[in-house]
Amino acid sequence: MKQALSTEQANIVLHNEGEEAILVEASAGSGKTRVLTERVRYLLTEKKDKYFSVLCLTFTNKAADEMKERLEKIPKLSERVFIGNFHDFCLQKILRPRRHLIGLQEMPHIFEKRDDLKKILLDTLYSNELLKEIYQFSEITDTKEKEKKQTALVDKCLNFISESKRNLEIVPEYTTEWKNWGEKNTFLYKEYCTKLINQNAMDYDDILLYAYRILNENPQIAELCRKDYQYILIDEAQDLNYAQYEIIKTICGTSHKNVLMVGDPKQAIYSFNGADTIYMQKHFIEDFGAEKFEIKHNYRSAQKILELAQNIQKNGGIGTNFFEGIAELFAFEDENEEAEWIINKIKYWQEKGIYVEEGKEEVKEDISLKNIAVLARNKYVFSKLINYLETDEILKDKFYLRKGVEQFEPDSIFMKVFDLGLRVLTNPADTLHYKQIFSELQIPYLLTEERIETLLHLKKTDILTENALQTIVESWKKLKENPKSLGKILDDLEPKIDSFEIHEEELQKIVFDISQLQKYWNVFIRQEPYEKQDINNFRYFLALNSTQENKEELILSTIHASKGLEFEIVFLMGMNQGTFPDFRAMEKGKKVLQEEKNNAYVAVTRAKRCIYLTYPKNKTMPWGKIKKQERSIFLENFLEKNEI
Amino acid sequence: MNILIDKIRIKNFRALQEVEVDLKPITLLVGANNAGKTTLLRALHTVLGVSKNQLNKDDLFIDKSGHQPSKSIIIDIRIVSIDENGERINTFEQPWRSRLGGQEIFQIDQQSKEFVAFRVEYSFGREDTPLPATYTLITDWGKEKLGDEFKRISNIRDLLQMYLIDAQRDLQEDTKSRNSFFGKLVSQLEQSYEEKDLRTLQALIEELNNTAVSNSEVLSHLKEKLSELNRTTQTRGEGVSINPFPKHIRDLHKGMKVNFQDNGSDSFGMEYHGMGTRSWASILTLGAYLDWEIQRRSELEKTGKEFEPISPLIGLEEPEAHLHPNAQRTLYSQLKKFAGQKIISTHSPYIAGQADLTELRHFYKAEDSVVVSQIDLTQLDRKEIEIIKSNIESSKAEVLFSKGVVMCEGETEETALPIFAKAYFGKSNFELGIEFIKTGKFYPLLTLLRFLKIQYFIFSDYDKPDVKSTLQNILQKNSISDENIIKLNDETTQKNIEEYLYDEGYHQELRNSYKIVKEPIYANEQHKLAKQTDLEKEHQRIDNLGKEDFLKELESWKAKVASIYPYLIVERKEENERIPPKIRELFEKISEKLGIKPS
Repeated sequence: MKQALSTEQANIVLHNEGEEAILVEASAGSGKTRVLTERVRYLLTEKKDKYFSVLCLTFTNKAADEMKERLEKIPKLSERVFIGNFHDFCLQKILRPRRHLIGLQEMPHIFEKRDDLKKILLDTLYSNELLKEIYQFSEITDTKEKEKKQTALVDKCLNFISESKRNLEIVPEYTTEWKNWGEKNTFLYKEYCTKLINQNAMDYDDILLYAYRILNENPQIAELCRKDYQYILIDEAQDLNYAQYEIIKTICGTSHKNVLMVGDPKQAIYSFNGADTIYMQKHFIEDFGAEKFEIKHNYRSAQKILELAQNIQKNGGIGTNFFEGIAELFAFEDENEEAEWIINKIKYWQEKGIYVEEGKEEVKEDISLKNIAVLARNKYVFSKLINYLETDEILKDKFYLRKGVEQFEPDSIFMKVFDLGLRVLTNPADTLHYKQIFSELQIPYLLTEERIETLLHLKKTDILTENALQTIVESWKKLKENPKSLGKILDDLEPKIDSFEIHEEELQKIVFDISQLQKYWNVFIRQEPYEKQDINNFRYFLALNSTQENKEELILSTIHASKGLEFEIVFLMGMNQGTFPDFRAMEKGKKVLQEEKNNAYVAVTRAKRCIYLTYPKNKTMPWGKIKKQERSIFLENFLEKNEI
Repeated sequence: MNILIDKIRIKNFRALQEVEVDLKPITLLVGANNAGKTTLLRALHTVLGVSKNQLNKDDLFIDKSGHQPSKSIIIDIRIVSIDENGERINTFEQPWRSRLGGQEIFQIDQQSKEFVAFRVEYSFGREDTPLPATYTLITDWGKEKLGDEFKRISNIRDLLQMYLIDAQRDLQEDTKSRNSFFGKLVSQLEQSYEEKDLRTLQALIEELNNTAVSNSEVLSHLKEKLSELNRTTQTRGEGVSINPFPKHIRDLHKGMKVNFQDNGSDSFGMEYHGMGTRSWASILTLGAYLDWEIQRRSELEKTGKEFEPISPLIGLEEPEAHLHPNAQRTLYSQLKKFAGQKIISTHSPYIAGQADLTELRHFYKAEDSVVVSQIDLTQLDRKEIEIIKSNIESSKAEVLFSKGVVMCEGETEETALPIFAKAYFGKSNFELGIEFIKTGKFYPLLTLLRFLKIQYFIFSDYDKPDVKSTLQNILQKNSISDENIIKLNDETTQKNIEEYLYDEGYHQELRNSYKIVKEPIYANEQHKLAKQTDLEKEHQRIDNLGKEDFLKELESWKAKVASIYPYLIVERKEENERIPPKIRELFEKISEKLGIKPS
């Protein structure tokens, strides 16, 4: 559907012919993706001098895909504009082509799973006597207590490392005490990094850190980028973190000012990742002399929803909408009731199939499962609902829990081993996953540099039948010969499964895992040119993937993962004090509480026509006790509508 | 601002096992047949040509034992940015920058200069089937460090548009083909007219057709008979019409002919001209096409419109084919004016002779494989370079293609030695491929000859002390043994060539040649008879001069007599006296080194 731009949108699109820095503060539903898209279209088609490229950084792959789709008719689009998220850009355009400048001969592989990073960390802790002693907590005798402390310490260490990387900490090679870190922290950070590099691996944070190092240590590369990307556009700028902002600054140097940032401070919800609105609201204006624009009008949500948004966030619900809409609040005795009611309401809408208002019958909105979403502050709120959905005749296979990053996590040992093998095939230096193969198979692993050869000669294990193991090994061999053949190999696997002589239930898991991997592979080959369709590139795709297929399914999502999405009908459940706002936030004070408010604002503004807010008055605790619940503070001025 | 392929590296391709060649805006490839000149052009064309020519396993390099030491052909190409004078500059300008690719394909060398380089690898699978070529970025040219896959090869092909003009070109054939430059150019005919003019022309053609048919009984008759067709097919259109001239402007080029009038003769169609003219015309058409394309773009650029830039790359095989030497000379200056980068293989001294020395690349076989060298002029000063140039010019550039070169200090030797050589070998020095060149006592030409791997000999007077010491220095500096050096004198004597000949017993020939030179020009026979007595007196005087007086008097005539006395000497009865000993020594050396038999 093509609508004309509003005057305030058009002003931004055409402002100063794309030159000079501007900051656009745009409320939810105000069409900021459209502004970005049209700005790119304007630059690529209307500018006289056509010899430049545009860099357009989005927060999610979904936003990038949407923009690309809308611009696809522009000739040579992919040559003239890079549209993608920050990590994609740094990986493809900086790190891959320039890695040798920071001494990386091979392209590092991404260790994307937190469990894997934990193992690297444990390795690090055990490699130093002092750290080992701390980790062992030998003064504590209670095993449970000890485990709890250890888990907390691991999290603390990983957070420290991640935060330091996001702060672009580069510790010089022979430094044993960096800044005020002390020897132990310095060792921890450096050793962890070394352990990754030794396996030719990196974590997410490394992608930005390496890209920054390349640009910062090689001004001529930053200069090349500056010459190429004459126009830079950044979406969701309220969630920029230090590393991302520094990368942009390094690319721009002092001369490049043609940067446009779009963001909404009211929607800033990623501070736990180091994001801060200060980069957009303060530094960008100071460093680039950005001129500020505002678009406050929400074109997305119906009138009632706007009122609710306004209620939650100042200036959060500006606009007038054709539809009146529905915004209702319901309280339930307990979580079971809440879940049952939501399911019934979903079925009601599914059956009805359209949204229409009295007196406005000329406009109808189609309703189906894929434009209905249930949102909550955290994923544990969904537990009861998921239980009910799983046993519901109609909805049991028609919903999925949306994650920030979709990962392929096989359930069956067969496919786990197969998948781990793919990692080693593409990265022979990967000892972590090499070892995991042996621990999955419960056989002692072989210390060797010839890892691939060793895997290709695996013979016997008690965990898998000989037939199954041989099938894996044969598949690996074929993949080693021809890294592009994964699709065919997966097709060939299915008929062989019958001969594995393993338990029925395990077989089912295998079939499911194979079909999952096939799905990812199919998405991958659809978006990559033929020459890039090998398992190596597939691994990067898997690691950075957040593409969901547009399935005809109900979406359950945390608010964080719903960023940038919109639905006709939204259920916002578990609206209890302590859950939302989160009890930790309530202890931490104003700034964090404001971010909780932003969360509520984001949640509410996902809805186009209807929003149902629900909460249980009582909750059953994991240990069986029933605990009384209070209504969320965000709903203070909102009247309950009790239909029960 | 332009772009240039400044380096190409070829491995395992036909005659070339491994060569790296520097290229300039215009580069001339010289060297013997089968030394790989054409192979270089083919390599570039395989990578950059518009029509893809599939390589096969026979294209792999074969060593002398008959093996193919490597199973893949590698072609590396480096592209740099240059200014108007063809000098490399630091950065690429727009629009080249964005058309070459995104920032990620640009590399920066040690001198902070940008370049784009990539490797193309052709390999062969089972049953020797060619596998798809792979393209990889080169991040460090010298160390051959490779980066990621290079995805913009089609951009490079569009930008560089390599045209390979082989030796079989022919304008007559070109006029028949839509794909020739002639065809490409004239097929733009319709678009080149203004709308108004197009209509006028169209009307004129129609009128022309009508008149031609109605005024011709034959055609009118034919038209009438053919109109029977209308009845049988019951068409509603205009039915049969006969068009002696093409009906539509867009078809005009199909019957287009090029006529060419030589001095005084009638103007003939191309088919009546010789291959020389046809070949030359074909090359000029390419020039016309390129100029047209470039001009069109610069107009677009001026009006601020988008355009696809091109920097054409022209590979030209032996442009001299079928052409008269005078025409060959003109050809080089015409080629030089063509837009784009030119790489020309040639055997023509007339073309190579006009090139800048730094534009020459010499292909030669060293032991088993082909080596390509370029001349290093950094050791020479400007004056020496000038001498080399004038040497090339005075030899009509034959020096570039000769088998052997004899360098001498003065004009006397340059004149006299070829006459003796003809007598000794029984063939002219042109037939033998030997050049005699006066270079002065510093022999700057040596640099060029060593680059060209041409066998050289020095015939030195070795008379005055400074001549002796200079020669010794040059030999020492270039570490040359005196194997190919003939010295007229030993360390103690200081004879010039005339004195040497005098002492060797050729004084009568010297005196006689002097007499001929001194002979006045008579108005007529009577005049000659009247002066007979004077003349005899003069001859007597010359015969009676003592050695010293005679040589002194001869000094100012020595260049002239040099073209005479050799003829007298070689007429001697005694065969072994026909060539003076030092000169014989030189010829024996040449005979030995070049394997040429005396007659």
